[in-house]
Amino acid sequence: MQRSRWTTLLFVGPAVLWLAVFFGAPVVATLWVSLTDEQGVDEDSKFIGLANYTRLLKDPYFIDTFWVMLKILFIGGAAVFAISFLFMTILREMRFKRFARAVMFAPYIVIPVALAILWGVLLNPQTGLLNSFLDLVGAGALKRVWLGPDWIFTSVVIGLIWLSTGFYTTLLCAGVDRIPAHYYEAAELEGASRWHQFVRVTIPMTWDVIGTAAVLWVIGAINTFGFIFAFSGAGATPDKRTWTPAIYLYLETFDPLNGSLSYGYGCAIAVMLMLLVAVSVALIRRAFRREAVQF
Amino acid sequence: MSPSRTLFTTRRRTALVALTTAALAASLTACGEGTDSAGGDSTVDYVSQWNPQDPEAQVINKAIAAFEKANPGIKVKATYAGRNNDAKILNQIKARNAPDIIEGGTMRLKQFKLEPLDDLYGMKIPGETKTVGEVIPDGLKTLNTAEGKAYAAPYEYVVGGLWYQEKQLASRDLKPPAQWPEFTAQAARFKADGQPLVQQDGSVAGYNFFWFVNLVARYGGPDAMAKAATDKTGETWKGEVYQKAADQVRALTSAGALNKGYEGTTFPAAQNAWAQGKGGYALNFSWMPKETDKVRAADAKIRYTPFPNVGGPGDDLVEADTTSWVVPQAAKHKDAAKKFLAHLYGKATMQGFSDTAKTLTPRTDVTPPALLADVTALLAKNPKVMPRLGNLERTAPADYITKVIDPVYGDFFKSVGKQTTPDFLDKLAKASKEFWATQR
Repeated sequence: MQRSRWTTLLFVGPAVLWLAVFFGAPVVATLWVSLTDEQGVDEDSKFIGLANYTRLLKDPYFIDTFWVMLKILFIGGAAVFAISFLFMTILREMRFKRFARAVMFAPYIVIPVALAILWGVLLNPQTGLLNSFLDLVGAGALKRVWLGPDWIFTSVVIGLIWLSTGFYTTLLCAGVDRIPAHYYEAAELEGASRWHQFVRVTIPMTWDVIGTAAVLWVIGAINTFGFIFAFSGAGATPDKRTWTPAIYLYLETFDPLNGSLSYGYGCAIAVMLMLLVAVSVALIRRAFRREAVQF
Repeated sequence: MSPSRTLFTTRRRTALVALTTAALAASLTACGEGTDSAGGDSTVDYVSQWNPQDPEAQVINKAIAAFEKANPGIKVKATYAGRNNDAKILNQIKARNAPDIIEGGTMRLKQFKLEPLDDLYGMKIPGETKTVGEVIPDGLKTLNTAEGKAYAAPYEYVVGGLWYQEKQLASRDLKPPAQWPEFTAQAARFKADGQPLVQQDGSVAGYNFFWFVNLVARYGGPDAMAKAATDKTGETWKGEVYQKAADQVRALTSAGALNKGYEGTTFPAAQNAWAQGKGGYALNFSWMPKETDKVRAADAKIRYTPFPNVGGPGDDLVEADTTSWVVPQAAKHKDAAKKFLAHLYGKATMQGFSDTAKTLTPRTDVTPPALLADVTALLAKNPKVMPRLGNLERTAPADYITKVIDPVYGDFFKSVGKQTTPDFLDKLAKASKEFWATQR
């Protein structure tokens, strides 16, 4: 028994230590710093209780970023899942579906920053491929200044949708692949339409995968950062219309252009984001909790 | 006592002794490094804003080698941390291990608690008769001074203004404009050839802001920008000076004088287009000619002209900024650091910056880079210097620009004339007031 306890400790200990040092300690440190007026360069900071949090709740800049995040979360999310379901349905019956999936997944394995830079080139108002293409096909009237104030947010959301769709399609396809073909055959024999097959067979039998995908999307959307930053181009702070809480956190903590340093406040934003992710994930998991379908 | 427990205790003692020894050794080593007699053994920790492959790094490395040879008791450990060097050393400072020299733009260095460098200014440059202070022009000293004390030592400086290619003006029989109306009138000549008067990368908020900064300074003098930004009611923004400046920006952006779609052009697309001879001018600092070295045609001759005058109290002001060295208050080797800095002001090193990095140095006896000959000629006339962005960066909190100027002015500038001047100034006043209300 004694030996067993030591053995357990031997195997579990390193993992626990690893988690405590590299995950637990930074979280605790972030929580602590969020309760101080830490500026980053001052060697001494003082405890200010919840002052950073009360300031945050009244901060108009943070509130604006919150709305931006919600738009990405819900509008972007709705589009990503709608397109992914559509592709999933098409790919299920397609020849060369593995190849098609690989092509769709490709953007996800490229560094988002590189993709965002590419988008900047594609959307250049004068020399960009998109406007040039619109001209070529005689649709010059549809040309826009895609990265200008009127379109920048839409362009960012479309970019994020394009970037994410391949990943979520692949994920959902993996769920669909598990469904035995005879379920669809039976549904067809009973005269079920494609829509009914989707609603009555595909959705219920991939419910757990959809739940996981939703959790991943929520975490990604709340923490959206690098893609938008790179989208703005070199040496530029993103347009305020595209500031997410994560971007605001960065600007408050390390503003690379103007040298604004508010570590305490930045940590308070980080804690709020962490709580938001935790609550959202808990809610999604609860919403998607169903008895597992055995097949 | 069981054998295993004895063994454990012994091992623990051994470990404790080893740890104590290591800690003592470490602290003794630290003491050795901490010796700060400029003539004794010291290692100066220098964190540079350049990357190892940057030409400035080559010049600094060469200077370090010469310095260490002349001062055998002092070593210089240079870390080329890149442009975000200030953010990268924060943990070093928190761990009470501050570097001895930090390098960067003056606006970014103001965040640190700094050692006054007046004594450095009084130090003789090794092997020369002049002091450091004597080779730095007064205008550049002012940019590095706060509350009567020198906090930074400038070694490169940049100057703002209009850049053009000689061929672009000569082929149209145009002269560099001295007055604003002359400048805007040239738009028609470029437009006739399907080219813009100005190439502008709208993605860089700072570049867009340069227009307003210079016009406000021309109409209201060097302090006008800072005066409005620090007014906590925001009402100053609605004054005549700002209206006139905003009117000119609006007229410029709505007249098709800028590249089409400038509001959504991502850097460096417009800058490269300018370098390739498409368009007349680019409003930027003197780092720009070097940035476009690889893009422009070999025979393109780059020229500079100051921002045009408007007949106001700030006419002829030159917007400038410096790259400087600072010594943090928490540095452990201040004397050695200053000795090294005095060495860096030697003519050979400064000529190296000019030749290799093609930048302007404070020393007037250094041959400037040919690319910046016009700027050098202007500075020889000792013009009045205005800190970059009309001193906004030193007078308002750092995030004032990010939260107030960039979004509100950005919308105005990128509206292509759709937004009116009164609407813009109302929004600017409101955003400014809101900003100050959020300041603790």
